[in-house]
Amino acid sequence: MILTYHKISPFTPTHWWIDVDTFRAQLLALRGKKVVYLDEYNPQNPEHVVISFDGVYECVWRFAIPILREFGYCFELFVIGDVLGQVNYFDEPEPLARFANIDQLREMVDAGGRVQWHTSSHAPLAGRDDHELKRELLVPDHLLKLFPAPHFQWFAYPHGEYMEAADAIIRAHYRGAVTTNEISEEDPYQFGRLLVFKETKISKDRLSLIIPNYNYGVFIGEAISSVLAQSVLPDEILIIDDASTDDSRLIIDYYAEKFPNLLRAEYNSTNLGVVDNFRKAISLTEGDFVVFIGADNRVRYDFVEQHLAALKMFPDAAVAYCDIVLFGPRARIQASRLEPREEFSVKRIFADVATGAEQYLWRFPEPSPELIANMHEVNFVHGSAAYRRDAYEGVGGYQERKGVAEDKSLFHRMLASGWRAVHVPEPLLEYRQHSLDQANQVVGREASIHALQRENARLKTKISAIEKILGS
Amino acid sequence: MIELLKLEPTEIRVDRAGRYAREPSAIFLHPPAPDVDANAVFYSSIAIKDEFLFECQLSLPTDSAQTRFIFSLMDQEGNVVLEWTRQPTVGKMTRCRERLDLQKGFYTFSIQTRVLEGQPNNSKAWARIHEPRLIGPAEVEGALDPFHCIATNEDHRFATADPWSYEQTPDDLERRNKLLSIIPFRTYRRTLEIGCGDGFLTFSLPGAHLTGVDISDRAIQHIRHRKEARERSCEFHAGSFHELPQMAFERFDLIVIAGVLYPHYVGRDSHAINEVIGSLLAPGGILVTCHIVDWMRHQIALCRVNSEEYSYRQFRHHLEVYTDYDTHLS
Repeated sequence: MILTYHKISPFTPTHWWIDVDTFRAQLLALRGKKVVYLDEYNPQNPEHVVISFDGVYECVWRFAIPILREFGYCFELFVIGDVLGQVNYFDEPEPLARFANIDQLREMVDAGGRVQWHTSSHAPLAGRDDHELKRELLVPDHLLKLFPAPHFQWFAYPHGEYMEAADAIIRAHYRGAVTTNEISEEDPYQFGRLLVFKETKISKDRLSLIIPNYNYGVFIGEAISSVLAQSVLPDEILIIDDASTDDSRLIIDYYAEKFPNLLRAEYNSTNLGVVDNFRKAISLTEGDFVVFIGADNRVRYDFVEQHLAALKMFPDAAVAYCDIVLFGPRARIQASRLEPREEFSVKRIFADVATGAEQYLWRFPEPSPELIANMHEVNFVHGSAAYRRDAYEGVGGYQERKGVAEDKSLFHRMLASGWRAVHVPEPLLEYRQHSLDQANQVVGREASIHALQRENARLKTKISAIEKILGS
Repeated sequence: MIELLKLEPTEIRVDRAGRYAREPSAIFLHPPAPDVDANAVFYSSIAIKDEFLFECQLSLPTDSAQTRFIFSLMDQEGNVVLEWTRQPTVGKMTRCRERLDLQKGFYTFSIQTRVLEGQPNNSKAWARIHEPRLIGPAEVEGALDPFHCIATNEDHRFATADPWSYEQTPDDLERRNKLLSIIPFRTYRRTLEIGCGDGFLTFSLPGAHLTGVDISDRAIQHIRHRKEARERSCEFHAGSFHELPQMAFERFDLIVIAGVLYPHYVGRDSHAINEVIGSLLAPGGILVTCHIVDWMRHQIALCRVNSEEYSYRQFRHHLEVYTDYDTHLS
């Protein structure tokens, strides 16, 4: 797969621009793949990916390069030779945008880029005489001197249109060429490229996020809203309600109606209990990765992003777990109950003298061989760890075990069967410590008032419709 | 007729922050969020002695919403001395030529774009100005500022104070109360409000010293003239969100951001946003944010210590309190 980008910027006036957050998410989706230069690229290898930029625009230097550096990916820069440091006057009606200059190209080369050729002027090649064609297709000497091999070994057809008349010249001067029409997997002079847009989904891996609920109507709105605010959204969200007797349904339905393509609700007619409920939830979802979030908890905006990155980075890891922030009225009590062990750390990071509210940061250890060997004694993978469906099925899923928490037993079996675990060293899960009657119910109440107002409006419409019928 | 000066399109930038400087000679209007009328302002100071011609070509790409261009010249007191409008046809290039007959003096020249009412909220809105130039027998004194454009700056609204009638709207008085009461009770030394406008919230905030920053110069002029500004230890500066790190402030133990972190104001770059906040917040400091739920995703990489959702006008508001993770309270 050869990916082609044009402009990366926080603001995106047309579909040729991709915002910085989306670009980061797309690079994240490549974790675990082999990002290579065109020189090493083998189209038959499904793990091979080439990242390429056309133009190359200044905004790429400004916004994309720092992220590429951070990920350690190499990339190809297809430059239009006549316009280095100038603007895309020829690109009507695209908004004008500046191209990178020589110094910026040098910086990009230092960051892992290779400079390649995308013609002199980007004008269509058809109808040009031999002299003009050569001027378009060949790199002028001063640029060849500035960027000697391994630069300028590849050519990108303008507008992606392969052209036979140019083919011979290109074969004589380059190692290969890329195009978006007339693609060949065998001929390096006709390698195909994928134009990337905001909506382009680069990875096929899917993540299912499950929120099991039982009588947490006061909290679940907050949990769902923190999931909907994720920088990388889950591919599906399942809310499974285990026969709640409170007003949970009202709130869950509100979100299910508002986000019909993303969020689904399942209502058990009788209470199944934790293990059967979890097993049912898994069977109703399809994601390659699965994660459960308690209906009374919340997640930070990058929870999904960071767990996906960790699991994709380590294909031999079954499970990824993050650090936790304890909040809520019983945070202090819970923090004091945590066994003092050197592998874990707990510290108070917030206190409000007026309300008595406190928060504790609970850091989890790296999964050392000693810890794994001792896992039946000390659990270090919590219930909101993200895991692979393959691993889940391989060890027989959640099971009822006397005296052992269902998640602990599951992760223990995964690690015992040879899978690895990854620690994500960021406090991405906000773990509420409460008893129901002590709860700070403001947010939950607001959500249910909002849901009730909607329900009220709906019923009013119904009543007036019925009254109309009765009146006539 | 001599060509007096050519406004280099390459000099035109959208945001004053270098980092967010946008590409030359294009005015971008972001897809307007519901009920936000997207607009952009280019401006430049010019000094002229005589009449001259302004010339440019305008275009609205085929996928753009219908937009009106408003050109104006203001004198040094801020009075509009000349104003004219053009409304190009979508998908076509429109030539714009205007003879400007003026007294000798210094003027501010601005080009605003305004999406016309009745455009669907989801329609793209962007426009392009080609090769704007001033032509004429006139002479120009002094250097010409680069043309700037402040993306979706609300500056034009601040012709008067309180442009959104916050002081008269019960929902706004209520949201101010909610925000003030969610701030953790402690003694704050330095408070920063980002997007302070003309001070609806600012003077109610706790803190021995107040700093207010707003992208609108006019809003800053209003807030400086309020009587509370003479009663508190405070300072106010015009600048964009992304310019804040360059303003070299000492860190703050309370930062309040209400209605600023929307993509149409600050773009979609969570890491950059968190870097700006991280450069301003003191260790153990408190950040309070308040935004319309449907207009943004939350993106703060700090420890959330409290949150609240409530109805506000026709929207839902999300009010959140954060602190950093590095604090250790014994």
